[in-house]
Amino acid sequence: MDSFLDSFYSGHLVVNSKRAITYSNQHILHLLDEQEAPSAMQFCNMFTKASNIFIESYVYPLLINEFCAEEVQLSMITSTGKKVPVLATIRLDEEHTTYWSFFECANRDKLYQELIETKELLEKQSQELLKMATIDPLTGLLNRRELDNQAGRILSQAQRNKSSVAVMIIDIDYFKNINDTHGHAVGDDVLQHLGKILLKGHREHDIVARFGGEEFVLVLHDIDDVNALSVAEKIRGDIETTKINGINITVSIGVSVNKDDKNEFDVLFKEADSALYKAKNKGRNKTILY
Amino acid sequence: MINQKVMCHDKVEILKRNNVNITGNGDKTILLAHGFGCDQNMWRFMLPTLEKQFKVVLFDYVGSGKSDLNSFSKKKYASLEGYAKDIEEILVALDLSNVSIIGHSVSSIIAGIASINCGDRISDITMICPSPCFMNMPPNYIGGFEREDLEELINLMDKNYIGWANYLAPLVMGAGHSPELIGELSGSFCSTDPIVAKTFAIATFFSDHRPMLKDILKPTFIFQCSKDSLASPDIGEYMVENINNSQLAVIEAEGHCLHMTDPTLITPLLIDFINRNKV
Repeated sequence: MDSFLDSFYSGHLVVNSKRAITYSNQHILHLLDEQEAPSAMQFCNMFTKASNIFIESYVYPLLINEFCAEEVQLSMITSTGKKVPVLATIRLDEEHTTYWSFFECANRDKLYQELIETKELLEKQSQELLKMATIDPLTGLLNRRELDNQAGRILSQAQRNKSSVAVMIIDIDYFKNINDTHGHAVGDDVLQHLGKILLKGHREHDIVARFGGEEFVLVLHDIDDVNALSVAEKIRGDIETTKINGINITVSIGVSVNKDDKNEFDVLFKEADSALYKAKNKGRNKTILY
Repeated sequence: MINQKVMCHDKVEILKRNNVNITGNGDKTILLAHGFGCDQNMWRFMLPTLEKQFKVVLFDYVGSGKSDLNSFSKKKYASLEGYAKDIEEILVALDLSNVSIIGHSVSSIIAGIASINCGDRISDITMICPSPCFMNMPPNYIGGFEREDLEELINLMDKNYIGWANYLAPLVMGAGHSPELIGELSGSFCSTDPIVAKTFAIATFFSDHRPMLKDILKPTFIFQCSKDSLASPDIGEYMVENINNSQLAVIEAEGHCLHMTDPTLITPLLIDFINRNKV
């Protein structure tokens, strides 16, 4: 019987409840690159330390619970310190003696490693894509697409809480002149700087987005007409008194605050846009509430 | 009035979230906290004896066993303090005081943290195979593992995670079901989130809670195995030296799961300890 077991090209091991090795076939020696009988060895020394944690935290509890553990990947360590990936299937009997079968699995290990690396790469790429799909690269603010997504969410939440939401469109006055006079690099600087000013005062769940060109949109939750107007006025004032790259800029702001019956972002946006139009017509550097 | 309503709602949520089960009879309450890789089912070998004389509270940490996976937060459970919060919230939800906590492995440390944050509700701690730090911190402390070993563990968990699904299946089913039924279900649990298990592993094996030990003021009983490749008897010595009001029992046994392999050796000792500390 023993000689038959020694002919198998797989490792077989019997370990008693005291963790002493009471039987091992020839292939175990081959796996471990050992000359002497493993009975002289400590069971735990056959594996890497990581494998030992795994054996204690998963394999033994599983064995005690279910009496068998299948397809467990572990790492053996040879007498020369080389790691050998093995697949183990283990049975436990009533006396807590365990019967281990080991198969080398270098190829499977390689495949799993590639899978893990591919998974990590995909996760990283999907995060980057998500960022690209939602963030305006110049200012780091939300882009127009994400503004639409998140504004809808804020509005339906406001409807549930019976609170109001303000939409503000902030447009830089005579931005074309800045680009024409100082060049596009300075124009970009102005946009970035303005983005920072808008981000400074915003609360956690408010939206700050670049709608496109020189137009920015804020969506503020839980705010009434009076407060929305004073927030907008503060932003307008802050920008008026800040020099960006030595240039004085001003903005016009259109504000709309929802009433109970209208909770469409499109509607609020159109109202804010028409208020903005008025602000521009009234000489710019103004805030108008719809 | 409104506050009270919120409390009631929270209480139900927390008991559901952590799959809290209460069993047994007695005027003294004990809470059993499972370790990494396990869930509350691991206590079933000690449970019949314990529930004869204590009211026993069992639970699963969020992410383990039958807990509510939706409540998992990578941020909260990235450190053992997050797991301690689970214990603290259960004690508050059940309005328990004077509770003895029995923690296996990492839960010993988690119970220690809870006893510092929530001292008025906890009377004493029993620690089974604890280690305050699994990493070697030369020259003065040998936790047993190098950083590379622990990184290899995370990799090994990735390579085995489909296997864990099989492990979790019978636990989710509960005991008493036929093996056929368990076998049938095993395959369908393959989607078990490996992120949760890895987060717990990192919180457990990459943390160093040695400085916290001196702040544990409750009577503490430490069980250590004579042969444990995760927590050597030296670590038991370290624990007992650094926790003020503590005592150590080294049990002649192998492995890291005394509560499963040798329940008859430790149960009478820990019952005696709990009764001695009874107010």
